[in-house]
Amino acid sequence: MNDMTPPAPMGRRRFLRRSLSGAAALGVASALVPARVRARSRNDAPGKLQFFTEEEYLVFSGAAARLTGHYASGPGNRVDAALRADRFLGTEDPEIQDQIHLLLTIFNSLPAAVLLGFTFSKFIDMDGTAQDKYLEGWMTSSFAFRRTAFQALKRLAMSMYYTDEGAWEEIGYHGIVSPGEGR
Amino acid sequence: MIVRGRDVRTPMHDAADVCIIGSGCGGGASAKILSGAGKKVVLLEEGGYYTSSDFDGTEATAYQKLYQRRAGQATEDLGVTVLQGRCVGGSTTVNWMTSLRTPEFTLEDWRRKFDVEGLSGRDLEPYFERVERYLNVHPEPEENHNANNRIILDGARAMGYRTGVNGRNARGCQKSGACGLGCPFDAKLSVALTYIPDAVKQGATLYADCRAEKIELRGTTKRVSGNILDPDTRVPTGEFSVEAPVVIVAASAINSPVLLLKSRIANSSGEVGKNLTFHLTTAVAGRFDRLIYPSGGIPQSVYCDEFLNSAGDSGGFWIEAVPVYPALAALAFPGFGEAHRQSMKEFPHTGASIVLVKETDSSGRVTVNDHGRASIDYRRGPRDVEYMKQGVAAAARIHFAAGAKDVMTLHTSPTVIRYPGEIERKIRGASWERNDIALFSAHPLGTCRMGADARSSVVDSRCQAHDVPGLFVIDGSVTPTSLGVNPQITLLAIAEKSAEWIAENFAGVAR
Repeated sequence: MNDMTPPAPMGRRRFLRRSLSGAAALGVASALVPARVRARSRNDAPGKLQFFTEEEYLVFSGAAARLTGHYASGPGNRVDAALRADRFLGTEDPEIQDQIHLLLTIFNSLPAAVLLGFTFSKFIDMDGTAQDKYLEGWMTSSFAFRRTAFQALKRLAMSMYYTDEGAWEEIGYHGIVSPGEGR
Repeated sequence: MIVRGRDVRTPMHDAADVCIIGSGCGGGASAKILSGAGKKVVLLEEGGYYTSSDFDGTEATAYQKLYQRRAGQATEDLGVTVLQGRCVGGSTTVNWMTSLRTPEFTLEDWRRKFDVEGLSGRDLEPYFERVERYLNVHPEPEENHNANNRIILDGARAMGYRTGVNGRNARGCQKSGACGLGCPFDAKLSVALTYIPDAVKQGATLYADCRAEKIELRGTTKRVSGNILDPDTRVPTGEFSVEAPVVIVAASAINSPVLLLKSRIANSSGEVGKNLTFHLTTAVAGRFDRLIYPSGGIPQSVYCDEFLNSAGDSGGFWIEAVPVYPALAALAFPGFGEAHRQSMKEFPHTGASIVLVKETDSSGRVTVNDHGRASIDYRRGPRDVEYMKQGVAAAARIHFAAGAKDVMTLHTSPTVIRYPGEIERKIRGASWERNDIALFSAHPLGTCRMGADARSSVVDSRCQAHDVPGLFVIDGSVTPTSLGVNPQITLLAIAEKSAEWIAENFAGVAR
């Protein structure tokens, strides 16, 4: 119940470094993205993305919707967290950018879904319930790197969503209190 | 003179008696003392120079402009979020102003275990007094505690736990709750509004948006070089160098060791970057029928110190209130999806308290990654994990005693405690492995620790590197242990004392 016990847990960089061989395979797999998904990418992803590929945009958009509980067609969905993330990540350090690209590739890969999620669909092709189950699997995994990956997705989704003023009304946040009001 | 990055002519070369890297507590206080002693001082700050007109009270703006890695700095496994300022004034620009003196037992530990000299409570007393007077540190009267702080005050009192009212470095506070986002009213007496302007009046030059990358030793002189950054994109736009016989590294416990490691200096002990302490922090959130609005009012005005050093091992935990802003809350609240969204909807009726563990058997390390930036690792020890469990339990009891309907921990898998009788079972039954609970640090310390033995410490009791005369580290890096309290008063007092010694013992040459 503590972190002093060996082996040392896998950090982001080591996790990603060790995943490179897998990523190479996933890269091949990504070349086999179903035409259906590509068509959806062309239709749904906003133009002029600065960081995400169209597919990455859709993957993150889907993940952000499930994570924040603001589904694409649901009420209160006034914030495009994925588009905000695209702009944010477009100015990030190259090392972070590389990690996010790799993370999304692995997260949405069929091999990862099969091996880690015991499902035969990529995240982007799952329905909402299956996506929630898949995310839950990453969040509670016994593998530290999957929990780390989940944290990365959650941090990005939540920070992009809730730093937008469009998210505030629903939660009753009115910004900082005016002078003298604060009690 | 304060020069922003976009106004620096490149390549920039300057010379000084003292070059200071970093403009937070250590750098700012050193700059004031040394410029006041007639030294020519050049200050280098990686972050930007912002004033109250830049502070709009939003997380988006604040994290982008004022925080390290846009508030996304974390350990490699993302298990601990490490919040630090990155701007003129450093973390004092974004802290919650809690101003507390170093506990006596902590200073005694430094003397006994590390042979630190001249930093006893009695030695520091005049410095504490001077700093507190200069920054108008004062406790808030009873009526100024907001609803979130009242949870601790009322709940802890009901439980029979000891509480206290902390000092704050403010003048004309508007109680807006914006402290963590940059004070829009210039009421916070941060280093950027006190030490820095006074240093500048005394002739110091501050270059903002200038990131030091290397220190080279050239005989008795040192050359600090680095990149000038675009204020918006942080992309290097030019280079600079500053030569000085005295260099003070004051870039924080995360970035000072990175600079020393990259420069390959001051590390004969092999201790640079090691011994990182976090004052490891988690929180509980209580949901109340009454309105709390946890982002409004004075963020932090009271504490519960019943459990700090209560076992006599210099460890334990401390409980304070925490202002809750939406994005920070969303990161910390457990789970995801609809349940998370419902938790967020309870925001106005949510009160939050943080539990800060003064480490006894946990430690971390800062190294340099392939990109020349900090890589942070941290391991929790079993005793500190136990303290954290006890702290969360105590905070939950405080919330129930203050009237909470239920209390939520920050476990990734939601852990909601519905009545006091459930506290122990729920907390003992939850997983405390890494990434199973949200953890934070706003007080990283210790990575260039102070001590008398050059084999086990990086600097001496005056903050001078054992290996390099004229090279000082004056920031949170030097504390040999976690403090147990918020560090700004400790760091300012140590900085003033060390800078006085430098002024008396190093002659200026840059005329």
